[in-house]
Amino acid sequence: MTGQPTVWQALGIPPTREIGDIRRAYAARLKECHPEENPDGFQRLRTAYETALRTARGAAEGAGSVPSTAVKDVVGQVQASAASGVISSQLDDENQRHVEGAVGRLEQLLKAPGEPDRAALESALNAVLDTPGAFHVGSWDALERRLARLLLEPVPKSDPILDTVVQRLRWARADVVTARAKEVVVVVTRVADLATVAKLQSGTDADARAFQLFSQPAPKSWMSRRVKAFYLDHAIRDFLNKTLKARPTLTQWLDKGSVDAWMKIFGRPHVSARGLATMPILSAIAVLAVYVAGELGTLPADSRAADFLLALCVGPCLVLAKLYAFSWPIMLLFRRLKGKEPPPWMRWGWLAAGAFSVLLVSTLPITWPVAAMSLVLSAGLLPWATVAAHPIFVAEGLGFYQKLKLALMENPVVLLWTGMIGWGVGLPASIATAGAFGASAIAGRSMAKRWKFDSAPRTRRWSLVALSLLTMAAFYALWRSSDSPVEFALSTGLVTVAALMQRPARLTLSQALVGRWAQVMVFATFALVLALSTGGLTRKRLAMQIAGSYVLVGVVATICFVVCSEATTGRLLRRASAQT
Amino acid sequence: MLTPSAVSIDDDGQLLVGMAARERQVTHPALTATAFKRYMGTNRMTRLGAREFLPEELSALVLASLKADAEHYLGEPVKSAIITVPAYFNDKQRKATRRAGELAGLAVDRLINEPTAAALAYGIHRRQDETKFLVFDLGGGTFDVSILEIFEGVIEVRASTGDTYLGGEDFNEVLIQDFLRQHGTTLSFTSREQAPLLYEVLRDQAERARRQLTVEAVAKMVVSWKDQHFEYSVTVDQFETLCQRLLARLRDPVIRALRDSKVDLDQVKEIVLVGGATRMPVVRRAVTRMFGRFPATSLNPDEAVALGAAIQAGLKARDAALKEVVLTDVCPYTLGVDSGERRPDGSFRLDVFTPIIERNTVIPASREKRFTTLSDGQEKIALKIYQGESRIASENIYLGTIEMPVPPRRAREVAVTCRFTYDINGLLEVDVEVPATHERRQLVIFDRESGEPGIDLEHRRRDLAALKVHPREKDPNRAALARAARCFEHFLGEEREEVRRQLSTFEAALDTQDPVTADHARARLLKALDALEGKSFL
Repeated sequence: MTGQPTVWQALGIPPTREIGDIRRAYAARLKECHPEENPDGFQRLRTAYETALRTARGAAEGAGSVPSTAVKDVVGQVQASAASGVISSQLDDENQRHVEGAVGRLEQLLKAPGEPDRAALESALNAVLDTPGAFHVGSWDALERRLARLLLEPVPKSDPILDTVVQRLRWARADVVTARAKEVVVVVTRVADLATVAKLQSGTDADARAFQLFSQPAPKSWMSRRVKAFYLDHAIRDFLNKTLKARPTLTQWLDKGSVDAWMKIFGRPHVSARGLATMPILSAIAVLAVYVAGELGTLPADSRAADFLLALCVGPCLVLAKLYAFSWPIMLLFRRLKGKEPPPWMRWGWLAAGAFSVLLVSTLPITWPVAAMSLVLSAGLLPWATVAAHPIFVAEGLGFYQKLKLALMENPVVLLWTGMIGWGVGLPASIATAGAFGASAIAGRSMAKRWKFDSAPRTRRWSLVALSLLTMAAFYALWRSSDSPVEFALSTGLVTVAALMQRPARLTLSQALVGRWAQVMVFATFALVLALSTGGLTRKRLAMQIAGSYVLVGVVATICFVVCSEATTGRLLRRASAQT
Repeated sequence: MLTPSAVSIDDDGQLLVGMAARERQVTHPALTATAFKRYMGTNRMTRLGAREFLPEELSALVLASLKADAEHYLGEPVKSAIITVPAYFNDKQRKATRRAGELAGLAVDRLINEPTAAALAYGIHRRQDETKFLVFDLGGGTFDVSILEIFEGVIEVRASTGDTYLGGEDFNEVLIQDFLRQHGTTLSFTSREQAPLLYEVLRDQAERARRQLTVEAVAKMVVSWKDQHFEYSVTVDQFETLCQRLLARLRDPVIRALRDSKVDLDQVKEIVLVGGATRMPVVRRAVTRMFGRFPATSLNPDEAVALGAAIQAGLKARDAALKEVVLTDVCPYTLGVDSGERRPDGSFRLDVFTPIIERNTVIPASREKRFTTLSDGQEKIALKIYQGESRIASENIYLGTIEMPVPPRRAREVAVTCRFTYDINGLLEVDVEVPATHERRQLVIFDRESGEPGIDLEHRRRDLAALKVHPREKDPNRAALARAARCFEHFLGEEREEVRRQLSTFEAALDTQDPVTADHARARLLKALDALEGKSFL
């Protein structure tokens, strides 16, 4: 025989459940495997001994309420040997009565109706802890548990004295080996929670704001909820991820109805102002590309200024207007929620931005109805769409099937688009769509990666291979496709849809939108270069495409929102409250 | 007679160790060191005269004096020793103790936990029984609790816990504080550093009062300072009230020991009291209340530990009389490493203490755990080693760091195995291996002598040996002189005159250079001093 000897071989006895036998065998073998002279042998023996004892004890416990004779023997012996302390039992009885009396008084106080009197409670508690009987270590664990249970029952009545108990009995000390009794842990947690709640109720930091929001009834109007949610985004996410995940017991202090209402919005990641601010920058880059192309003479010189202005206006101006259209709500929310004024540029910026866009649109060589529509779009539709579109990309806190369901709910829209193109335009446009999707996806991914946006690692490799193939197909399709306005409009739409099709597995919406915006931009630039090299593209269409893609992101987002937003609600909080 | 842990340096630069040094504590606090056991393992330097000493060097001097005494008695050289340490001594403190032994010229065969030694002294005669008992060891500076079981000739330590900062000294401190509450303003005493001489007087008086309370219902502290006389009296009941907090602290380790050992208090056959401080009635009463029964007092609390160490020496030598006894001890504290966890939301929770050897594991023990990298492309893993019971790593005692280069891969793809080996002397060894590269490293916990410990130790040993120590034959006379000097300062009026008279008689006897005359005179002097201030407690 080679290899490790079994437990029983190490002990030199046949398998048994008799604890006495195991101990005798261990003692006998110990003389050969002396811890001094044969540390390795001793360790093997000790492991075998402990395993054997565990098995034997486990078997005894498994036998249920009737302990095996072996255990009984040991217990019997011990009791016989302990019987010598006659005086001790008398002493114990006397002390026990005192403890009972003190605990009874405390219980009475706790169960009495009406407001608790803190001083009375505290003195009753001290009386329990100071009786000589409570000093006894043998019954201590039981008394400790009993006290904890007693205090937990009339919660929150006992709250004022919980802190005293924890301090006097040093319950809060974190011990890495011994597990505290369950009741004791609950008391300690509650004391810590009480301290945290006190801090959160009076605080003004992000966590406190989120806590205060959740502990009050939610506003009736879902519109105001959504607007509020838009600006509380980070605070809530931090609160959910840090505070509530670490301390699920805090949900006791939250308003259930409010939580449910809010979680329809907050259960998922949101767009952030910072994410939106990135967009104008990217717009500017795209516009610059057009401008540079014009300067280089690749674009016809006749209406360069007009085309440039058009692109400038319809692209970034929409974004700026979108940001500033909300400056009033921002100000109000700042004042209410953060307790301070927003920065001045934010307050007045919308006027400048609005005036600027009006000016720009009015100087454009386009008709007034078009200009008006552009402004309406910028001021109304886009911000609304962005705010409303918050809850589409639910990722965090959802299970696989929930994600699948969501993907299916979103996909009909995508399928509809693709079908329309296939039916209306024909195959080349469909291939172009796919190609656009590929190119934009690659660009978006690499950008997201560079900006440390995480994406699902499992799918990354395969999607990159597939996307490279699709890109090559797109090159071919665009090369072949004719330059008709319908196709262009459709490809614009398709870019958008393609962008939206990507499920940001672990992205927040803000990250996803930035990534998507990047995709649109890259696609536009890509299409521009391609068209210029083939000579089949006009500037106006290009600018329209840039802007149009962006508009459509919003439109499709709105549609998706209408289809599925309220259907999925946040599970984080509910799961947290289920844990407690 | 016991040798107190005290080292003093006298005016001509010679060293005094033991009783004589202890007596000088009150009169020459700046030249005397006591209670240095508390600082073992630290770099705290004590200045005595011209030279600075490490705690381990002071211990080495005491050990050397003990060695000389033993050699004198046995008439043969003593080469090796078994040294007892509080069970709760950590790795650093144990290493320092071992170095102290080596500095004293002793090969340290074994460090044994004090409660284990005491239990050995208690249990060795009961080895035929099958029994469990609890050793309650409250010494001058440390408190240890151990639960032991004897069966089939095996003495097994089931659990060992304690509090390294709780002991008789703390009870003295309670009395001093109460004394100062009463007289502090007139004495204008603020801190020990501000008036070391006064503090020593206070401490001496507190110790006396505490011992008096062992036999009497009321005790007095009398302090003469700057021609003023301060009196303070305390009754047993008052003292008990004052000690309430300390007594409450005695309970925690007991409860932990019971929990860890999974032994029911009903199964514990006897409570064995060890350590000088357990003579105090307040402590005995607290013990009685705590356990609901009277503790066993069959052992002399001062000698039990030494007796146990002697038995351990016998066990170690496989003495025939002890042949059938095997002792197994435990590691009294948890040893582990600092680690991090990734939360579900992707953030990290750092500073998590992961135990590798849990407290009260039977030693020698060797345990292994695997750890993986936390982030992509991580190039090394640094394992910080801690000892303690808190779940938060940095709240524990830091022992050292071991760094291990790992191949840069994705997070959680590279594993290292970390093996802790805790030997029978309570010294720890850490091995780390990366299975992927088969690279191994062993931890050298950075000691002061991390460079070349052997050479340095040898150097320091010679250094200490060069110090002049008073010839041991004259020690009793020195001690008597020091005590008389202290009494002379303490008493006033007629009593002072009496001390002076006795002292000069003794000095005259010493001048005759006749040892017999000197011995007689010394006996007379000590008797007179006993009559004045009560029996010496040293």
